[in-house]
Amino acid sequence: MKGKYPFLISYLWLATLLGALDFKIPEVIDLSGFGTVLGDQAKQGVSLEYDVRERCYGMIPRSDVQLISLDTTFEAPSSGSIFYSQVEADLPTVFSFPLGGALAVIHPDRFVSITSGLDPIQVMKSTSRSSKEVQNSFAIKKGDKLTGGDGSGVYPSKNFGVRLFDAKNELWMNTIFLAPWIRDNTSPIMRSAKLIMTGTDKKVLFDLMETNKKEKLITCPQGNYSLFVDARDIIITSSRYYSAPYCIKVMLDGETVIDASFIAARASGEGISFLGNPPPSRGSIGEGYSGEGYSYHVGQFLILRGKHDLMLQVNDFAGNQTTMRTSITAY
Amino acid sequence: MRRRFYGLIIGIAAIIFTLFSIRSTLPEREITSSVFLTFAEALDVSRIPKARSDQIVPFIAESFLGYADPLEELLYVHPFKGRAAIDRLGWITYDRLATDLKLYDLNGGGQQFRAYAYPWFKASWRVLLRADQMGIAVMDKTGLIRWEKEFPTPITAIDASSLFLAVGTLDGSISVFDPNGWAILSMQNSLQEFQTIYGLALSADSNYLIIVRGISPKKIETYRFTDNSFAKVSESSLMVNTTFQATIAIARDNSHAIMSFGDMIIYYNIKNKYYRILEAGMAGVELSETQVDFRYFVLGSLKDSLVAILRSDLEGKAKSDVIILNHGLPVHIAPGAFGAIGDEEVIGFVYKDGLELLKGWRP
Repeated sequence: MKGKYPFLISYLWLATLLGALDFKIPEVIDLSGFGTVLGDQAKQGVSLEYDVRERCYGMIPRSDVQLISLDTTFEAPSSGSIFYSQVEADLPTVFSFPLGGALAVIHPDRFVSITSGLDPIQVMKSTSRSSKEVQNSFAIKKGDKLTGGDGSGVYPSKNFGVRLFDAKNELWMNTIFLAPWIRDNTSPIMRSAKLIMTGTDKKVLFDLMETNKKEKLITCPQGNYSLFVDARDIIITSSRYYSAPYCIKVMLDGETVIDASFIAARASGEGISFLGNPPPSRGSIGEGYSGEGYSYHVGQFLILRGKHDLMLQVNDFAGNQTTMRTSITAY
Repeated sequence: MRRRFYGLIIGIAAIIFTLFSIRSTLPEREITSSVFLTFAEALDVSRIPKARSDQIVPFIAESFLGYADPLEELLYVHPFKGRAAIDRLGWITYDRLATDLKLYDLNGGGQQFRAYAYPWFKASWRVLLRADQMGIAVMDKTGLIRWEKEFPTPITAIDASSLFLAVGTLDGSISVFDPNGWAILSMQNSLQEFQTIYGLALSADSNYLIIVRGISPKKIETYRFTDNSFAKVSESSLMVNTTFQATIAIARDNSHAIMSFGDMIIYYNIKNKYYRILEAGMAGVELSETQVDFRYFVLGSLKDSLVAILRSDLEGKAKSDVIILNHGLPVHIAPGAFGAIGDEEVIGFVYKDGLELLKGWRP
């Protein structure tokens, strides 16, 4: 089932923000998208060992896209000037930062991109003051080959991180729309959807997925409910990596009560805000509410006394959609 | 009467001048002993006597980590793979992908630690730097997270003294926290105009904070701790053409700071607010004009005005030297070493196969 119209709007919104920026995610063999829970597939599609009932520090939605290249090179997504570079030390006595070899580049219209997982030697050489062309050495051109070597920081070999910040609007951008080569024809997979009643000491929890498999009816007290959804999207067919869904919508009796998306994440002094949740970003992840993975906190809505029809829609960035309907009787 | 008064003043000034002149020209203390302790002969960390736990100095080598007891001239080691962070209470080992963290206490007993982050230990602070480099968590010795903080842009600099933890970010914000997580200094830069923090350092006595910030021109800012916060006391332009993240250390005597920006080393005089680029000709090594031969990392201040830096061969991963600078002048080189430790009495160099301990000091 397709729902292209809202995505055209999202694309246009993004195109408006991007303005003159010529930014393209280079063609790669695989990727893990913006919003995907960090560390959930840290080792080539293999999850970090964790027990979802306990908190694992650092598992928050990612603000970059992780790109897996066919070889150890990667094309610079846009032209600009390098203003910050970091390298990995390769020695146990020197602390290296998790992004490994990284370049921060300033682009027109106050966009800043960060490419990480780069080979430290290339970072050193491309930004060294002892280069003969000092003034030009800080410039980077779209399509320039960047090398990953054996991988650096938290990125394995052939893996790179790319993130784009819109400084004017203080937003970390979802760059998935800037990869026109992607053909995603599969719908997101909904793994878990749970309603948690808020404002009570007791955790009153309703499992929409389980209900949907059986009687498709929930009987619950009236009140405010938070919705936690675990859904995954395979962007590249037969990929070992999955991505976060693009947006999650809830309609109660035909009226939209939740419309949360990963189109961008707002940055502020308190941190990063995903899916409309207040910062810090860990507030966007519900721990222990899902059977096998982490769930996104997609929003809250009020269920008043009476019979209701609830429809949950999960979309990927290409407009592929998965829906689920449940009847609710609130008392 | 007035003549006698002036005479007294001149006399006191002459005595002070003489005292300072003698101090600055005094020869360095002689090395009273030099000993090389091999890992092959070291004891297991579980054998550290409790009575000595305050005297041991932690270190990390290539495949061993552990503690040196300089007075007893003993090494206590534990084998490890990958990376590690260590302090006097234990250590965490982790892999580059941040997927396999293990927390150890001094008995050597390890337990899986659940985090997707790199651990960073200094001055009794135990910090987790989140894998996206945009958050920190401060934990206790049991691994319990006491508080955490997220930043809007990646962290580019971190340092700690016994009292404070300082963090700088790509957009130019600076935060200094006390052990309870209260921000005693918070300078939130506008996200619209990046003033990137390239490096920062806290002095060991927590009195000074030095920051290198700004894309072009860069500035060195000095802050002094007064009235429960840090107040800026000076600002100097740093006219260097580099984009590198810096590693910085303030000498224990607070006279100067040493900064490294990839292939460049800078001496900054805190009191007189001037800097000098050091690396050319340092320890008899010239940089090639056409390519980068070395990269430098500041390892830390040792004692008085000594700062240890690491010079690493860019092409050969195994090649490194530790250079000791005294007021920015190279006074000792330890070829093949890749770490340095120091306290009031001892300076040590970490090698692949053991530790060299020098008691006393002479360049």
